[in-house]
Amino acid sequence: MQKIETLFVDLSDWFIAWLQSLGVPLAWADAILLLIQFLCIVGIILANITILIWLERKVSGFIQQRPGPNRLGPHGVFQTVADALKLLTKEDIIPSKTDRLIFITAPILFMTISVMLYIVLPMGKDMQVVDLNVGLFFFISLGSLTTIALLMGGWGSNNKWSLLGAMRSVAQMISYEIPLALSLMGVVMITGSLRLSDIVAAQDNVWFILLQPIAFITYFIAATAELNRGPFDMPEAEQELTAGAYTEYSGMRYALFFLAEYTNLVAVSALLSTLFLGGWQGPWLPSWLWIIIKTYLVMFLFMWVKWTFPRIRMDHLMAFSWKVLIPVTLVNIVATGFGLYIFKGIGG
Amino acid sequence: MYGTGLLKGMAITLKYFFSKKITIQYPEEMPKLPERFRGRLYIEFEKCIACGICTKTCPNDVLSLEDARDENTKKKKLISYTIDHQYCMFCNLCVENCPSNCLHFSHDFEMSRYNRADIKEVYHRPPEMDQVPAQVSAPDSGEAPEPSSDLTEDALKKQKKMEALMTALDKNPVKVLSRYVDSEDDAQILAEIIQADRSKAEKLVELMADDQEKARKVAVAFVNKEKKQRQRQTEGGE
Amino acid sequence: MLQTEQLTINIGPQHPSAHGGLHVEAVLDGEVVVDAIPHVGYVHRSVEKIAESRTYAQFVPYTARLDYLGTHLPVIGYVQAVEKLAGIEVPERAEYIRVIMGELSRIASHQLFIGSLAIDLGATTGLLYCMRDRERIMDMFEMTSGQRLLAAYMRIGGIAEDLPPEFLPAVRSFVRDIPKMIKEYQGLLYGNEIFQARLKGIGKLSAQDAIAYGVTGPNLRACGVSYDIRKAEPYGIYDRFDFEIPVGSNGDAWDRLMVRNEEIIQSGRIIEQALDQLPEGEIRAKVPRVFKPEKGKSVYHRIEGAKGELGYYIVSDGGEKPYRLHVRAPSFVNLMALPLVSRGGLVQDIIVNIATLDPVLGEADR
Repeated sequence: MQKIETLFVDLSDWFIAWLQSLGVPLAWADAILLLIQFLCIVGIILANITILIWLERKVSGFIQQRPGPNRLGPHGVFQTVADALKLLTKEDIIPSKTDRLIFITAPILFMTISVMLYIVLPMGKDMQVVDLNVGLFFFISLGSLTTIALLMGGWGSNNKWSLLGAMRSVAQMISYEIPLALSLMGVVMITGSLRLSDIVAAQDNVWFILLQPIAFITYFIAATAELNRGPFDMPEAEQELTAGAYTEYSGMRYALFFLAEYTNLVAVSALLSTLFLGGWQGPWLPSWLWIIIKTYLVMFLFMWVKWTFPRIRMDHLMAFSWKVLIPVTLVNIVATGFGLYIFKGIGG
Repeated sequence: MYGTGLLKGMAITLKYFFSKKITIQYPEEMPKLPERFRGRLYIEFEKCIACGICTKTCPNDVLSLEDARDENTKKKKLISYTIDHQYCMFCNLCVENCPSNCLHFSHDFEMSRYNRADIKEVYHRPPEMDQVPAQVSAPDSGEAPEPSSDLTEDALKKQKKMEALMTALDKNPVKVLSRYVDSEDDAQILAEIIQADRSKAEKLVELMADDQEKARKVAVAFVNKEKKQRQRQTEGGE
Repeated sequence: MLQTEQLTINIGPQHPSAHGGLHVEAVLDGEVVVDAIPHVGYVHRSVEKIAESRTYAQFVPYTARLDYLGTHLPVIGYVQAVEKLAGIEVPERAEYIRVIMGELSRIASHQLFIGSLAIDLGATTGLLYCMRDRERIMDMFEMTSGQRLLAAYMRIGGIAEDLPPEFLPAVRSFVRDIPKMIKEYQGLLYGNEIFQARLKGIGKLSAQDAIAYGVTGPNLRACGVSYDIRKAEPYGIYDRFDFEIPVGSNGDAWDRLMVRNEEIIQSGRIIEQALDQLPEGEIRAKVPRVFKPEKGKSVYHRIEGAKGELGYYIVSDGGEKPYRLHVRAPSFVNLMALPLVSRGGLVQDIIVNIATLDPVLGEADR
C-alpha cells in the first residue's frame, strides 16, 4: 500500500539517485527531472483530454437518452483519437486577409498558458512540480491571460463574428476575474497562505466546502464563465456567433483552442477539488487516485450544468457578475473575517 | 426562490442520465417498419399490362415505360420499365391508380448510391416471356396444368380463356350456354348436365376455347342425348 | 467621445440558427440591434408555378413540402380548397381523420418550435427531449401513410387509406401523455430562470402592429387578439369540437411560447373528442382521376395552419390543371414583423425572435 502511495515520488527519487551515480551534479539532475516532469504533465494533459472529450460526449449522450459515441473501440473510447487524427490531416487554412502573426500565435499562446497552470497543481502527496509560495495567485493570474489569446484570435481573424466573440470574451472574462479571485479569499483567510500544499494540509480535518459553501458556489459559477463553458459560452455561442472567436480557425489550430479549453477545464476542476474538496486527502486509496476521482466528479458537474441550461444573455451575464456575484463574495469575505475573529477569540 | 428552476432542470437531466437509452442502433438494429412503409418502388413485371396510367399519374415524371404491340394478339406488351428514384416523392399515387396492382413499395429504405446513374432503375422484359418453345404442347383435357414459363404464348392464352370461361360458366351457365344451343330451354338442360358431370363441363370448355363450331356440335349432342334419356325415363315411369 | 461605427453582419443563410435558409441582415451598434432585415428566397422552389403544370390530384404531394413541420395541415388546406372548387362532398369519417391528423401535425410543429427555441438558446437537451416526443407522432404518420415527414395521406375527396388498427391505441396513449410531456418541458425549460430571462419582455409586438402587419396564428394570439380560423370561420367539421383559444397578453417571446404550449393541450382535447366521435364508413368520395372544374371559377380557402392563416387561392380555366394557384403563407407574413420586434434589442434577441416567430422557410419562400 505504502509503495503505491509513494510510487511516483519514489520514482523521481530513484531517478535522481541514478543520475548522481552516473556522476551528474545535483543541480543538473534536478533540471533534467524538471524537464521530464514537464513532459509527464503534457502526457497527463493529453491523456486526460482524450478521456474528457469522450466523457463529455458520453455524458451529453446519456443525458439526452442516447448512447453517445460507440463505434471506435469498446464504448467508442477511440473516437477522440480518430477525431484528432482527422483534424491533424486537414488542410491548414489561413484566410488571406488575416493578421498572420497574431492568427498563428493565438492558439499556441492559449495552449501554452493552459499547460502552465499545471505547474502549481498538487497531484498527490508531495507531487507538485513547483510548490510556489504564491501558487494560488499564480494560477489566477495565468488564467486571466487566456483572455489575451482569445482576443488575439478574434482580432487576427478579421471576421465580424470573431470580433464580436472576442469582444464578448474580454468583457466576460474581466468581469468574472473579480468574483473568481474574491471567492477564493475566504479559503486564503482561513489558511493564511497562498501555497496550495498548505491549503491542502489545512483541510486535514474538514473540507473547505463545508466551511465555505457560498465561496464554492460562487467560484464554480465564475469558473464556468472563465472556462467559456455553457451556460456562459458567450465567446463561442454557436447558435448566435457561429463559432465566435474560432470561426476562421480550422484543422489543428482549431483543435488547439479546443484542447486548451479542455486543459483549462481539467486544471480548474483540479483546483476546485484542491481548494474545497480536500485535495489529495482521502482514506484507503493512494493520494494521486483521490485527486483524479475528485477532479472527475467536479468535471461531471461542469458537464451536467452545460447540458442542462440554456445560454445566458450577454447583458444579464455582466449584470449577474457585478450585481450578484461580487456583492455575495464580498459579504462572504466579511462573514469569514468575523467567523475567524470569533473562532480565534474562543480558541484564545 | 431564484434557482429552484435551475435545480429542477438538473434533476430531470440527471434522471435521464441513468435512464434507458432509446435510440435505435442502426445498422446493427433495424427500425421496425410499419406495414404501409413506403420504401423503394418496384414493379411486378409479369403483371403489368402496359396501360401507362402510372406514368400519367406520377406528378414528378419518375416513371416511364416502353411498350410494343404483340403481333399475334394485337395487345400492348411491356418492353421495359424505368423508375428514376431520385425524383420519387413516395406519394403513393401510382400504386393507388395501377389497375393491375403491379406497383408496390418495398420496405427497403437504403437507397443511396455512389453514382447518380445508379439511382435510375430499369426493368427489362425477361426473355422467357417471349420464348417460343419447339413443341406446342396443348393440354389434353381434365386438370389444367400449372402455368409455367415453357408454355407457348398460345397455350398460355388458351389456358387463360378456359379459366375465364369456367368462372363465367359457374356464375351464369344458362347465359353462356345459350350461345351454343338452339333454345333457352336446351341451355337450361345443358347447364344441369354440366353441373352433374364436371368432366363434361371441362371438355366443353376446352372445345369452346379452341373451336366454336365443334363445341356447338358437342353441346347439341349432349342436349339431345339428355333429352332422349329423360324421355325414356318418363316413359318407363308410365 | 469615442467614435463608433455601425457593424453590418449577415446572419445566414448558412448559420446554425438560420432555420433552413433565412438570411437576416443585421445592423449593429455594438451588441444593440439597429435594424434586422430578413431576406427570403433561398429555398424558393416555385411551388405555385409547379401547380400550373400538374393536375389537381397530382399537386397534392407538393403541398406537404410547404410547411414540412406540420405536414398534414397544408395538404388539408389544399384538398379542401379543391373540394370547394369542384363541389366534392367528403365522407364523415374522412373529415374526422383529417381533424385528427391536422391536430397531430399542429402538436408536432409546436413541439419542434419548443425544441428549436431551446437549441437556439443553447439548451441542446431541450431539443432532443422535444424531438423524442415528436417521434411518436412521426411513428403514427408512418403507420397510417407509410411516410414520416412528408406524409402524402390526404386525397381530394377524402384520405388515401383507412386507419390501421394499431393507430387508435397509439394516438390515445399519446394524447394521455401530453400533460406528462408538458410537465417535463416545464421542468427543464420554462421553469428555468435563465430561459425565462431570455424570453420575457423580448421582441414585444403590440396588437395593433400585429394586425397591421398581417401577423396571424399563435404569434397574433400572443399579442392578445383572440383570432383563430377554426373558431372564426370553422372549416371542415371544426364547429363540432369544444376547445379554447389560448391568448397571451404582452406579445413577447415568452407569450408566443406559452400560447403554443397551451395549444398543444387544446389540440390534444380536439383529438380526444374526434376519437370519441369517429364514425365508421367510407373514407373517400368517388372522384374521377382527372376532373375539370367550371371555367373561370375561383376559390379562396383558408385554414388555421400551425404557423397561422394558411390560404389557397385557386383559379380554374376549365382544364384539368389550375390556371393559377396562390398560397398565402403565414410564415412569410409573420417573418416580416422581424425588424419591428428586433430593433433596439440585442444580437442574441434576434435569434430568439426568429425562433419565436417560427418561420418555416419552405413555406415562406415557396
